[in-house]
Amino acid sequence: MARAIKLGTNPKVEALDVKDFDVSTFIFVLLLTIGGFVAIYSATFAAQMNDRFSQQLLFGSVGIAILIVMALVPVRWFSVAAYPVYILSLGLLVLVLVKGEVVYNQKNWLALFGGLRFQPSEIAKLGTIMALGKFLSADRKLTRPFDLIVACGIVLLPIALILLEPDPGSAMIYFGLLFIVLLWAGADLFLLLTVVGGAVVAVLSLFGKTPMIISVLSVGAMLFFFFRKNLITTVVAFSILIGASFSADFIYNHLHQYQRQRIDLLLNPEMDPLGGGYNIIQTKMAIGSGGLVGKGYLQGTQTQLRFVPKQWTDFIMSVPAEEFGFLGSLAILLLYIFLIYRSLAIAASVRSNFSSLLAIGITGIWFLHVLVNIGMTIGLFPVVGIPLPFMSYGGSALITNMVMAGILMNLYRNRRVMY
Amino acid sequence: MRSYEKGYSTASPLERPTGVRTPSSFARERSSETEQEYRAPGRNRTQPDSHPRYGPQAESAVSMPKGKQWHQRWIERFFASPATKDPMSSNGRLYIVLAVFLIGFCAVIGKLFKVQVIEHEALSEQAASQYQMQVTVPARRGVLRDRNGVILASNAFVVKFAFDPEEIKNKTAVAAAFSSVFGKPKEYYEGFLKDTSRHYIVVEREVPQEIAAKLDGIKERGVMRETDERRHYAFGTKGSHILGFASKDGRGLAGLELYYDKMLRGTDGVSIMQRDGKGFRRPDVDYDQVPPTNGDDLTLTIDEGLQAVTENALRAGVERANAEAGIAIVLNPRTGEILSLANMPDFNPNDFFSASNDMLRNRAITDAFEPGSTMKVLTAAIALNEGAWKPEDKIDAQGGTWVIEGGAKIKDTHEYGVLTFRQALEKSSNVCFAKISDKLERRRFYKYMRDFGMSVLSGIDLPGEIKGSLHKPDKWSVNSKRYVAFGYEMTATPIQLAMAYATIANFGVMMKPYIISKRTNIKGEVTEIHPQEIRRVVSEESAKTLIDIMRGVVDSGTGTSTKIKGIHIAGKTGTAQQYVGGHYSKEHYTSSFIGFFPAEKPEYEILVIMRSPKNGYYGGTVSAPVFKEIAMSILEQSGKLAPDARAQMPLASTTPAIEEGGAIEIEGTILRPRERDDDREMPDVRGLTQDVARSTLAAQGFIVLKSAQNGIVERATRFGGDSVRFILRAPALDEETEKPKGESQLVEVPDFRHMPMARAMKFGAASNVRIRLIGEGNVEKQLPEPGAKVDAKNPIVTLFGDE
Repeated sequence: MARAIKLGTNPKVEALDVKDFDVSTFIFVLLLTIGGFVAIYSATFAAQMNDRFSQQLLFGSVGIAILIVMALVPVRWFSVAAYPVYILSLGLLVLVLVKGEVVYNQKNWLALFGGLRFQPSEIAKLGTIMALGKFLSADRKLTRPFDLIVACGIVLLPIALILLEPDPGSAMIYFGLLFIVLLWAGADLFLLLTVVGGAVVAVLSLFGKTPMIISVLSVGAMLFFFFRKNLITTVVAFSILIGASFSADFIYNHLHQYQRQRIDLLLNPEMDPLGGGYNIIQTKMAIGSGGLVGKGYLQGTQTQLRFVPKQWTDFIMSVPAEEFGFLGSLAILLLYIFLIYRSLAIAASVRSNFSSLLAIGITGIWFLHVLVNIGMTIGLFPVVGIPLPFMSYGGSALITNMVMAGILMNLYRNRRVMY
Repeated sequence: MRSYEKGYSTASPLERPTGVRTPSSFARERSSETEQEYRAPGRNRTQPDSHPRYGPQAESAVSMPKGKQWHQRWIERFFASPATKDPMSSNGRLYIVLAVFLIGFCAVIGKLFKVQVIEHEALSEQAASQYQMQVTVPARRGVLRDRNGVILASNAFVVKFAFDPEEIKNKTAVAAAFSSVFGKPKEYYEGFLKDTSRHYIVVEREVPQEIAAKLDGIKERGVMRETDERRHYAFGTKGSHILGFASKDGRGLAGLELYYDKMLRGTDGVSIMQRDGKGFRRPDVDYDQVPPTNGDDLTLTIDEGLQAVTENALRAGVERANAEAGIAIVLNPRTGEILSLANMPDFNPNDFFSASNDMLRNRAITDAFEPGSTMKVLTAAIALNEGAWKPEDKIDAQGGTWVIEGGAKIKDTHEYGVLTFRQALEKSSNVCFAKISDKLERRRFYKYMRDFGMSVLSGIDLPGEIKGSLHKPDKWSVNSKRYVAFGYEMTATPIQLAMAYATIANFGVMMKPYIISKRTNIKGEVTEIHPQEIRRVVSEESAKTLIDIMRGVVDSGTGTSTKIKGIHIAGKTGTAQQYVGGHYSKEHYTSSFIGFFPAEKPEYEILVIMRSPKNGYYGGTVSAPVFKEIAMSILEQSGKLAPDARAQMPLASTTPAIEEGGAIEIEGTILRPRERDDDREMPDVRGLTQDVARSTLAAQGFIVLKSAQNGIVERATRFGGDSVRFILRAPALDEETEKPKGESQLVEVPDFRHMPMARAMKFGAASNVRIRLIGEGNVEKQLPEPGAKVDAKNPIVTLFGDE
């Protein structure tokens, strides 16, 4: 029997066994990272910026080493390190507001000694899910308002700091993350769905009066019929929805000029083809002109002629999409689906609650990044500065993702361990 | 809890059978359940889980046979993490998360499919339209060479220098270097360099490449060079009226450049270029290029050396006589080849723009005037050919004045008695020629005149030729034929006269004049242009008789000042009064001499005409010396000139043995020849700037009424024959800024900061600001700062990227 379980052994001490090495995660991570190298090489090929490619190779190798280390350390370390890492992340987020570098109107880079620089918001994602997992894995009742508020507070604190940068894209990821983890941890469904319904109504309200009314009514009706709450609760939920829809308009009017522009452009990119809509239009043209099988490697006219700005970072998906077509994008998307599915499977099967919550956090981060990043390149989401995990150029994101993959592999290795 | 449970069970189809276990309660349940299950070996494979599990795992666990292959194990391990009791997934939350993920991925895949497969074609086209651009690859304009292969017109590179004072570090060195190369004072350049408000100041333009090369040592970024191709005329003014000129963009506007524009221009090629996001162009390897077909090279019949001789002699003659204008044509009467052709005043085609209308005019073909006595040769030829007159027939010259019908008088300068036909020509008696014409039938006479090319285009391959005027015989008055017989009541162009004389010199056969003898296309294929016979006008015998008489003009008549030792020259002088202000002027003359040699078998014909000389007016005095000078040079060149001939050359002021007799006094009415050619074609000047269009039309003798404002010619309308009025389209654009010329205005610099470079470039183009990029990425800094005012003519903004 290949997967022998040593009966009677103390499950708290798991021996290092090669069979417990999570090959699937490792292979998917490796394939995606290599895919990223290939795409970055193409994106920087014409721009004569091959130093980016070699830098990414270096980040990748360092990342793999860190991944292996993370996969091998005692699993309890993560639990022990959860709060310190969280507090460190918050400290870095504060530091970046004070001493950070401004890039693209956002203050989210922190320079280290020796010319290195990184984005603390990447590390803070990990710190946040660790702290949230640690908090929720203790005997907490999410039905208890205090516990729920603390849990939300753990996430809202970094969100507040990130919004000050301001980096609404990352903040959006944190909100999604909070939803997924709370859902996983067993928060009241009605409450969660009311909040999410409110968000949906708020977004739809931006499209005009008709979608606003229809969304408020349909979400409200859904909540009412599925949960059959008492009148007062229903009225409160309805008020939340209506409040969300009106506040959306209010918030929209108080957004940063460029943020509002981005939302407007999502609704109608052709509005300003040479201005703010340039990124969306060019990226969409790159992806669309790829067709079913693509133009061939290093043959993408949009990529090689550098029509897509900053393609090697947030718009990296347009490279394989243009040069390898729909089949290429599908292949990459399938790798992500496998990875996320795998990570969800681990979250669903590890014994320790902390492990499970940490795994679902990692799953959530990856899922949201992939969804939002690819979504924005094809016009499903507004253009926000969210990198594509393992593929986008950038050391902070790649290494953080490698750390998360290593943790995931560690959790799998110690799936039987209770702690 | 009640409401929660109710809501949950209703909402979720994934309700677990064993009752609700809230995730928050897992801590309580965990201890008993997990330990119990953990003691059951292989539980999850041998028996169904008491708790609903992660679907795929449960299935594979159940169906998995023993002795699994590696891949089966791998699949199992991928889907499941068995042997542990999961704390979280035992409720429907897993399925909610799965559903959320599924919806998310389905949305992404669906949208990807829509963008990449359904909208593929539209987006591909959209992409192609922005990166492909059709670029015209200009063909090289053909080179013009003289008959010996000397290059007359070719293409050269010129350089334009501009300063960005802010970018120039060593200002004194730059000013010194420019000053030493261009010879302007240092202060001139220093003045520009002080002006840091501008970023593009053109200091020198149209600098030949070899001169520009002297400044190659300056490596300053603020010294900008722009290279352009220009038509270059190697000899400046030499042959200017033959060569004509072409516009900067290679459009032939005058002379051969216009006449052979199509051949010279060739066919522009087409290249599909790729344009990248940064606005740079590069050739696209995927598309066929249509290479340009360079223009054909043309070889002229002109002899560069002889042209120089002709021009020098004519210029000297014009200066000596203080004439308004001068025309000289040298041709080979045997073939019709034009060997040289000069007009004074002349112009430099490299700078045609600044030439006046007078300078541009190619009078040899565009000016028709009453020729006067030179026409007597044609009358004589007709008389001899018709057999109406013999050389020795006697004519009464009426003592110098003959009163004709209507009371008009024909006068000679001398009071001749009875002259022979031969003497009448030698002494150029008007009275005699009027009488000679009386014996000629008017229709025959007219037919001969037409055959000699009067009022017929010579067909020379130069643009703008006019026909001159000769009224039809049914319009003639009783005296018309008499006047025409000695060159009035009709007009002719110099080239028409030259070709009529060439007919005599060629023993009666008229040739078509031409300037291009050879066409060489890009492949090296040569097309020779052969001499073309037009018609026989008079018999060889008549022509030879006439030539013999014409020798007498030079030997003992009005043209003795052209006599050259050792060579027989046949020729005829002409002194015509110009019709100015309603009467025949006593101040404005047309003085001409047309002759050819050697008389035995003429090979060279030279025509010299002076218009309105103020210093002497007889053709024999004013024009004949020019003829002689050219003739001597030709003979010298071919070694046929007697060694001592130069020494015997008479002074320019030498009066001929017999003075010319072209003057008439009109006391009756005279039928005026048509002043203009209303039906001649006007070159198409649409799309040219007013100044260039003016030059083009002036070169063909049109009179242009200039409009005060500047602009592009939309339409050119003729009125009163040769007068042209322009209808202008829009103000002319300044070369540098492509903005209307005018006072400088200030514009505000837009804010480019934080824009991606590609967007900044487009934004700049949209706001008419020139962009210079330094670095990559987003605009970090810009110079000048946003909101600063810059000269609207040169709004240059330098953008610095953040990478």
